[in-house]
Amino acid sequence: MKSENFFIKKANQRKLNRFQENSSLSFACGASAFMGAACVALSYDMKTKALNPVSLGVAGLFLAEALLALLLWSAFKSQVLKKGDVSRGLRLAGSLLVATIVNGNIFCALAGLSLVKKKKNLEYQVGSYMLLVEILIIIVSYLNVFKDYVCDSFFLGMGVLAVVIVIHAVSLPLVAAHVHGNRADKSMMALAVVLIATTVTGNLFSLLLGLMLLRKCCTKDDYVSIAWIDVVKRLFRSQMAVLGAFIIVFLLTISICANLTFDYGIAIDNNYSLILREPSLAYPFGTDDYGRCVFTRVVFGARISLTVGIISTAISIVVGIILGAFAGFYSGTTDNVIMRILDVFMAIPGLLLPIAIIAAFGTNTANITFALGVGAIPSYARTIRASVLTLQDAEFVEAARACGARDKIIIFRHILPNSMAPLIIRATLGIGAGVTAVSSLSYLGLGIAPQIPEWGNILKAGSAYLETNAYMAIFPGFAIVVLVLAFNFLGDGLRDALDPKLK
Amino acid sequence: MKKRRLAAVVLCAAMVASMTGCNVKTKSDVTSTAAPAADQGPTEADPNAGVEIGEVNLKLLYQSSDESVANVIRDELSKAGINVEMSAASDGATFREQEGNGNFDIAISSWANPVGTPDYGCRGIWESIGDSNLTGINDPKLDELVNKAAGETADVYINTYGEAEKYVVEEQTYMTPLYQNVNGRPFNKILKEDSVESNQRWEHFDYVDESLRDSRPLVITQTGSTITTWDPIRADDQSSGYSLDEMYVHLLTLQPDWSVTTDSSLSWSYAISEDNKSYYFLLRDDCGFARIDKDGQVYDSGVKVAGEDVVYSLNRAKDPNSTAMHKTYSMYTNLDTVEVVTDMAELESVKNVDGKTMKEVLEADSITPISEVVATRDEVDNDAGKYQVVRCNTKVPYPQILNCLTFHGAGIVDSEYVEAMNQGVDFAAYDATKDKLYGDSVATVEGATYDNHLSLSGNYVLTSMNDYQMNFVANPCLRTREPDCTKIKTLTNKFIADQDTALSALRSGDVDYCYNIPTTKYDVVEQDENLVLKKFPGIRVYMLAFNMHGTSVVSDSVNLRKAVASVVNYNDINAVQAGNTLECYSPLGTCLNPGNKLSYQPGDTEKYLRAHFAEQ
Repeated sequence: MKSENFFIKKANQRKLNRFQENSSLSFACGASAFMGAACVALSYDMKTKALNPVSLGVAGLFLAEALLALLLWSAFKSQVLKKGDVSRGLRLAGSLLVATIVNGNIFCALAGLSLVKKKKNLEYQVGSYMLLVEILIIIVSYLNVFKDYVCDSFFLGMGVLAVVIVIHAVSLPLVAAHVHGNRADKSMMALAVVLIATTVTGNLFSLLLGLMLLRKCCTKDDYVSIAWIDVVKRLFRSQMAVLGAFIIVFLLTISICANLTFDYGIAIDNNYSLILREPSLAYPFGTDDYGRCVFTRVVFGARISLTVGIISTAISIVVGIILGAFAGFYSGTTDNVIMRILDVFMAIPGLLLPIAIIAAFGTNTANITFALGVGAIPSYARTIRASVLTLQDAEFVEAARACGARDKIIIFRHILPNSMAPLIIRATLGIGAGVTAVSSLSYLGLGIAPQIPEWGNILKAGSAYLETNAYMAIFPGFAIVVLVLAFNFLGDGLRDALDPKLK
Repeated sequence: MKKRRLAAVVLCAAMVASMTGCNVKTKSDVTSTAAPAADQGPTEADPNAGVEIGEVNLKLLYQSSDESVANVIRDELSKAGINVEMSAASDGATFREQEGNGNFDIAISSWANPVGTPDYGCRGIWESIGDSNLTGINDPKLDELVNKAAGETADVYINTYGEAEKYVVEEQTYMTPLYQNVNGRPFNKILKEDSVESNQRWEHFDYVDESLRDSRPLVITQTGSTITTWDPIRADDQSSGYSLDEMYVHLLTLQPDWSVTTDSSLSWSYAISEDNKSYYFLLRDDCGFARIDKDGQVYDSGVKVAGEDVVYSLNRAKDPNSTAMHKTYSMYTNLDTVEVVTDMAELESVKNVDGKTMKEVLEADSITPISEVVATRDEVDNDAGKYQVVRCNTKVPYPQILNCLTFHGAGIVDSEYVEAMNQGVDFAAYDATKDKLYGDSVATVEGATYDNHLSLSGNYVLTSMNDYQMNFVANPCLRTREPDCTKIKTLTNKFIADQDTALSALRSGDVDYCYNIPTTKYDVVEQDENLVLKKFPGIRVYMLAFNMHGTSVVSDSVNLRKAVASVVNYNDINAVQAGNTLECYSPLGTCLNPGNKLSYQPGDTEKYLRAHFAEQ
């Protein structure tokens, strides 16, 4: 028999779980402590057996923030358990956590944003992420002022970012106040349009928020739920999935904003007086063996990695959907012909097909994208075909047939929309795989030209200096890992969010 | 709500304020202050001042191992407004093929001069019929200069070579210098430090603990792994070069300062006639040919290395038709006749510059006075004063021939044995898949095809090889009067294509010695407590060569070539090579310094580009 304590614990846990702040505070606490520990590990120089004071300082900062989050969390817990609510003072203290964004601690900042506001709706959550992305971008861009010079459009870029931040900061309390359940005040329509316009910076959260506002402005009946907004709601319940989305949106935004705030010349032109410098404020990731700023290279590298990853996946999805749908729908000879051809493609091992295509058509970004796209077609086609086969006998398809719908309508209007869920998940994972593939190709010397900043290239250059200048390989390697992980987290979250059984 | 809005605005304002406060400069601020200084001066006197500079696109060919230098050149050229298309060749053979076919505009090509004579430093690549002239240089004036210098003595030829290199580098700009390499030789502390030298001879390697000489095989490594032949005159690449130097004995060997010596050679002594056209070598009688039986065991064939072999080997080396795929004849162009001297009177009558007779000079280092000069190997007996003397005559006075005799192409082969093996092969219609020649490396590969037919006169005998390594043992019948002339008795030479991997193998103790490691890794070796690094000036000069085949835009425009040449900056190249290179002027730089210096000024690039477009 279980002790009484057990049931009290359960009850307390239930009480705490009613508050979203609980999970975000615990996550902030753990993640900051982890970042702190990672910085301590990074600060240790194995050769000299000494600790680097700068990264040790950063580590101290993260650990202090973890401690702050821990303090606030325990105060939060005791208040919730005793009074069932959170005091105004504690909520205000949340703004301390928000301030941690200055050193890039998004975990604490998010927890802070969540603690500050008592009444939170989905829009407030999305808005928080939207704002944090923009603030982080401006901080990262700001690092450029420590260099000898900044690019000509730097001030323009920073100005644009500042304006966008102001818009986002203003919209955050507005959406919290003016959206009620599934309905939003009509006045939100204008804000929605403005938010969608700010998506030009690459901030997909603002697009999402804008679309949600637009949709909710048009809602007449508060009680009818909107399917895709429910999916977003479920997605935002998973911390890791949102973190993944955050990282992807951050990288997308930085690769667009970098055109204004970063100087491409620093990434690509050799600077013989700056060869192999240790990381510093001006060169946060150090400089490489040609004196180029590794940080700037990593920032510009995101552009190629993301573009190739996304476009190649898009190619394989589109072709995969068409082939898979036809094969599944018109079984028999069509199915056999299509699937056997795809089987041939599937028989060629992983990277070999792209390597062969690149060898035949030459090395450039378009060919690499095409090659990776073609290589992934069979797996998408198989996924779609399987879904189509199961859906073909579904009642709604039979109903559509009975109504005399043409094949095209049945496939594209009835079957495909219902088989999208597994595909979307595959796609997010596929983009991650695409990013690693293009990096692998570059690492092998088959990808992008060596001077072009691309993560695989940067990593390759760094791998020769692993022992003496490890930072050259650590940072691009870390970037690849983080991006792929982000896509995987998002994919996992999407799978849960789209799973009809969890509705 | 308002507070936060305020906070955001304040934050942005603070950022903007701090940016202006730090006096942040934009790129155009920086470049506009720097630019006017460069524009002044030379352009005012330029007759083509008004000419508009158009677009220039060049294809840069390089071996992937030279990628860092290629990147520097690409960077420099693109900063100068010249577009560069990078074309990497994965290995040396592909590179040479592309270069020979003229499939490039500019190429990073290199030339190693292992014999240390200026003639070898330039003839092969500058002469229009040179055996390594892949860039298509065809200039009668240059041919004349090269041939003129070859016939001169050192005090005169320095000026002729100086004129030639200035002509090539600055007047016609067929090539422009990049750098001379530094040879960093890292090795395990198990080896004696003074046993490692710049032109390493394997027989000099020695362990600190001398008792290991017989029991512990020495493991060294080289990057080249495509061995095609063990015939000294058919090999031209580094893959077999290092080994061939050790597998065949030479009339002379080189010292680290490029002077020649009889140490570890076939000769007791040598002498030069007064007119610098006749060279006499007094041969030892204690060098024999070692062969390998079916089981890979080395045995003494009983055949002594003699004058007949020397005559046969050198005649073979200078005759382009003596075998198929002859690779080294250019070096021996000036070698006229090679004969065994049978007339004692000749040695007593011919004198050197100091007035001493050849006999006197040769006897100075012989073990017994020369009582008789004999014609055949059967009659030789040094203890009894019966010696063989070989005379090499050159067409012109050409003392540089002595250095050429140290090259692997002049290795002494077993005359009767090689002749017998190569008999019946039509060299003109040679087909590598069918015809069997002496030295075919496939015969030495372990496995079903193993049939090691080599007959070797050098310090080390190749017993077998595979994809990973070559196995050598010390020659048992070499210089038997000096029992310990080869110190370490067994040696393994591993193929490790990648210099970084070779270094890792060295550090983990798998390998004892590397011929070369990346220049950027010298500090890694210096920090390793088990390793020592000795640095020597290298023998290889890297040049940026222009396509002179007529298939490129640079072939016809000396101004464009000069524009490109003026962009190249040695300091940049040296910087990316971690400072481990030497500045040079031409391929002659490894052994000769006529004192030329590049004279390009800032602004020259534009001037030459304008001149190029004015011509068009």
